[in-house]
Amino acid sequence: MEWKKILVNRKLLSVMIVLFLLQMIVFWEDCQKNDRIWMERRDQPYEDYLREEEEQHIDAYHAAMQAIMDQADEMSGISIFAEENSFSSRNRASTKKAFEPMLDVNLTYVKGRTITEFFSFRFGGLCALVCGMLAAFELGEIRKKRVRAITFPTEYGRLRLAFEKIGALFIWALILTFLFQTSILLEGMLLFHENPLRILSCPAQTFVCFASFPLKITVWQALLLYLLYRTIILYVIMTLAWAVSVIFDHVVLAAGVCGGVFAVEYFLYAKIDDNNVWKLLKYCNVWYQTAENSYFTKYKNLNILEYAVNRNTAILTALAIAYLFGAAVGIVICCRRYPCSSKVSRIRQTVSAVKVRVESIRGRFLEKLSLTGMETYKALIAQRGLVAILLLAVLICYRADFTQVKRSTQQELYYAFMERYLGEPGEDSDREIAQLADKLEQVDITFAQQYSEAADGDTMIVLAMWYDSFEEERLFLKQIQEQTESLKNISQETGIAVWYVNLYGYIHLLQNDDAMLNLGLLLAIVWICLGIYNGENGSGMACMINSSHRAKFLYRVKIRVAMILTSLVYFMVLLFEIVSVSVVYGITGIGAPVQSILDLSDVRIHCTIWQYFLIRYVVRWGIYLVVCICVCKALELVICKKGLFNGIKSRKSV
Amino acid sequence: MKKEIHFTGGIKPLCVLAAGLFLLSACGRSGQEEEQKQAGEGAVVVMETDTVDTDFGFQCVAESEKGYYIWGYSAVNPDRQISINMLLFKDKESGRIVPLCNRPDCAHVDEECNAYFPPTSSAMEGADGFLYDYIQYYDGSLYVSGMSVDRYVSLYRIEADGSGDWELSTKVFRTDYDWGSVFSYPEILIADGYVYFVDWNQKCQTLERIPLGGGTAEVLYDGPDGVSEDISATEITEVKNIEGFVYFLTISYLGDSAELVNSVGGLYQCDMETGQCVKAKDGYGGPWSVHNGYLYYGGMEGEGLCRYSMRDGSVEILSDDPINVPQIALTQDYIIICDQMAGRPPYGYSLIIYDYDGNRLATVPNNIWLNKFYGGNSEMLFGSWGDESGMGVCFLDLTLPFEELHWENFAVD
Repeated sequence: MEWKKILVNRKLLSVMIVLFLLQMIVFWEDCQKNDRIWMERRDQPYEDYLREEEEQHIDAYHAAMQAIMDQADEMSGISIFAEENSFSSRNRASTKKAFEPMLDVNLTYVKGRTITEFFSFRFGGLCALVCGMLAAFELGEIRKKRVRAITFPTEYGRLRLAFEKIGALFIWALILTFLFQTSILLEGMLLFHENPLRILSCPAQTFVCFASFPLKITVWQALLLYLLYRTIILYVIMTLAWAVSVIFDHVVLAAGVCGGVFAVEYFLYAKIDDNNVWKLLKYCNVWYQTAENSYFTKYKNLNILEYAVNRNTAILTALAIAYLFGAAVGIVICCRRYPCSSKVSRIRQTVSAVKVRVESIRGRFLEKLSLTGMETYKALIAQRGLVAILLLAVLICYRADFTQVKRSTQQELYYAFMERYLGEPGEDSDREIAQLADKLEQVDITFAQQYSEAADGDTMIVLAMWYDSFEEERLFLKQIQEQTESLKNISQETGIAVWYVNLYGYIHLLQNDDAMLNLGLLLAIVWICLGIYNGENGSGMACMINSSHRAKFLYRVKIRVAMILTSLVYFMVLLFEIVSVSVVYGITGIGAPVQSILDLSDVRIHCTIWQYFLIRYVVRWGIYLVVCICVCKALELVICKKGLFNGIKSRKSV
Repeated sequence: MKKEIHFTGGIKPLCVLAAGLFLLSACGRSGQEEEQKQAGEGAVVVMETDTVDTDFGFQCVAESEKGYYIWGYSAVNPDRQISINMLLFKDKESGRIVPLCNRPDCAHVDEECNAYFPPTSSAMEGADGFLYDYIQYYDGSLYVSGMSVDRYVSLYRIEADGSGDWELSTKVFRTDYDWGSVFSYPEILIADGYVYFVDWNQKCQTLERIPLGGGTAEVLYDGPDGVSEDISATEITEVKNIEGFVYFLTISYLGDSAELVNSVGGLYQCDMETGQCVKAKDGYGGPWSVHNGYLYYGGMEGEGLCRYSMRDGSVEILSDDPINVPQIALTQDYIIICDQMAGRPPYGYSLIIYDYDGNRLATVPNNIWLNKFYGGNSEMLFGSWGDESGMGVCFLDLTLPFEELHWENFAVD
């Protein structure tokens, strides 16, 4: 039975158990933290606050429901909300219909902190997701031994196997959801000493988190519905992950594609507002559905072609479409993976001939490579590491924006000043600043005098606008005086002869806040490292390498290749960063003391700006190399050296 | 013998027909006629029309077929005891004022409401932010401006049905704006498929336009021509779309002296098709409005309410009541001026209503601490108020009898 395969894989089971225990510990920690924070801020136990909140909610509930009915009726008198066949009128009608039954709900206070904490706890969903993904990959049987293909030689056999796998995915989605979620519920009830029967049998709307819940059901029914909903979500995600693993038949590539999709979905989830027209991309999103639960507890309709479609209906429809697509793709690939037809078409003969030729050229090429070259080939070509680099390049192109900034007059004055006086502040620059200050002072005097003498409003307005026209120069004067003052103070305190430098470019270089690019870089490094080691596991060479006397040397070569490729991608991103800042904002005065940049005035090293940034980038490079080495060592241990441990066990038993 | 084919006989009727068609095409559209003041380039085009469009001096109110949209404030949130900025809607049919939110289950007091849009400071926190000073209804959609997360001054299109949905419509220009620095959002006007804007962070301002939806910006006006001295500053204000043209007021200061104020300015008319700007009236004149080829303004050197003809350049003093650079709005039947220079509220900012013959019809006192007059139409006027108790927007129902005219707070019912 396919679902039992997960139980047999002890490594996978141990990861699931660890995550299961971890989420329970984190839940307990969260509850303790809430108690602690509330006590510090309000000097009141959290449970007392929850009680007050629940009681207020219960007292106001009926009035709130009545207010919805009244508001729905009133909205029918507002033209934009009452337009026939519009989303607004449909939304109004369906909201009224949904909440009308709630008018009869009678609520009494029930102590149920468990429910509140349960619905605000997000980590458990993410843990269940990780376990689900691992289970899906396991069921994908990537690059498993060919004996499996012999066991299911016919297309019908493989079709049956695919359906069994889909069934197994559902079983595990159910097990993981119920296990992870109900354990939190039980833990909560034990921690807070609450009566489960009393909590589960009261109306769902008793608790604040269900204030906007439009079904007239009890808590246990709501929880059951919620768990089934989460199961469906997890099941669809697992099916899609399984389909991806089946398509690529390559752990690194499949993991990379899934990781890339998750990263993109994360940004859609984080960046798209609830009211953006693209909000469907936020709701039909693995992060939203796993880390949030407001889609279940809060009522909301979406505008789909002027129809008021409940958010959950839209989500479930999107899930159904995604599921059908993923399942269909997975089944078709599974059926066709190992063709055993004896009739070979002419096209297949031609393709086979081309493949043989390419293989022979490839073999001759590989013979000429050194060990480092071979490892690089394996990492980039065999394990598709080149795809990671190409995707990173695409991401860089997407993030590139060389549109020129429309500088204000203040900024133009600043740029011009810095161009003229790049270097140590001197008499000329001081004189120019003083002249500008004098000029603006004269403007103040002229304005005050002429404004008081102005006979009519027209003259007053002309004068006022003339006075305002010097505002950009005032801002520039303030900016340059502050910078001059700071430079003089730094010079006095440190004894370093600091310079005037244009700070705009350096501010942007120091910010380095492109989270998407940084995440892409990290994913690319992990992808490449994974590729370097996974090949050995897949080809079964791990044991042979470990038994060789040159094993250590080979692993060193792998790490060297990983470091070279990490450096390559890092410098790609770094170059893009420097070029984009340089083109848009300009970078000048790199020979100035680093303390000339006001944000770096506390730097104790006596060096120039270019030296500082060189050290900074080298340190960052070092950090990425350390990450790379740690990932490599971990992969070496987990993927390659397990064979060695198995070998030791066998020898011991003998 | 070869037969001669005469073409001229056939061509003559054709020429007559073509000339006739040409002459016919010179006739205008129903209800409007174009009249050239002078032939050749640089001529002001005067539109003759019977109807007066809604006249807003500041683009703070948007009028649609169904009602008015304006940035206002929510009711006070009982938990936090504050009210937050929201988009409000005044229904023309029922007269009710509601937040622009079509959810019956929303209390309209917090950030979850569809009528709430995050402020421009959100751009510093990784989200798009909206400016609460500008709103315009154009081609069935609402447009507001703000700052995108990648620091572009942007136009956003908001659904006008209260669903709260919005999308980024046009990136106007890129800024290098940090929260710590001072940034003035540009004056923006959407007309004829273009976004007209003036960047107020420039000493020499220019009128530019960019296609709605994005494209390359085109400079339409960057200062007066034919001036011998160097221009040290140019200010462009009151960009309005009236009767098919974009008008704007500009003043340029000559020389860079801090002691002598020397300026040239005037009202300019921009042809939206060609992008050409011509001077409609010389001299800077303060707040103004245009209708039917006449420029209305008040208080230039104490003359009172004046009307300048863009056809022949003549000035007519409609009323010599002493007024001082008032805000001015034209409705179908009235000229409404807001005497902003008469003093600080509540003494100043009273409204004076004239007919188009210059007869003073009514005075509306400032009963609400009005401090800015936005303009309006035959039915409704708008403004903003502020005193020690707070601030907000207000409206005046112009359909009431004169003696009953008063300002009301534009607050949610």
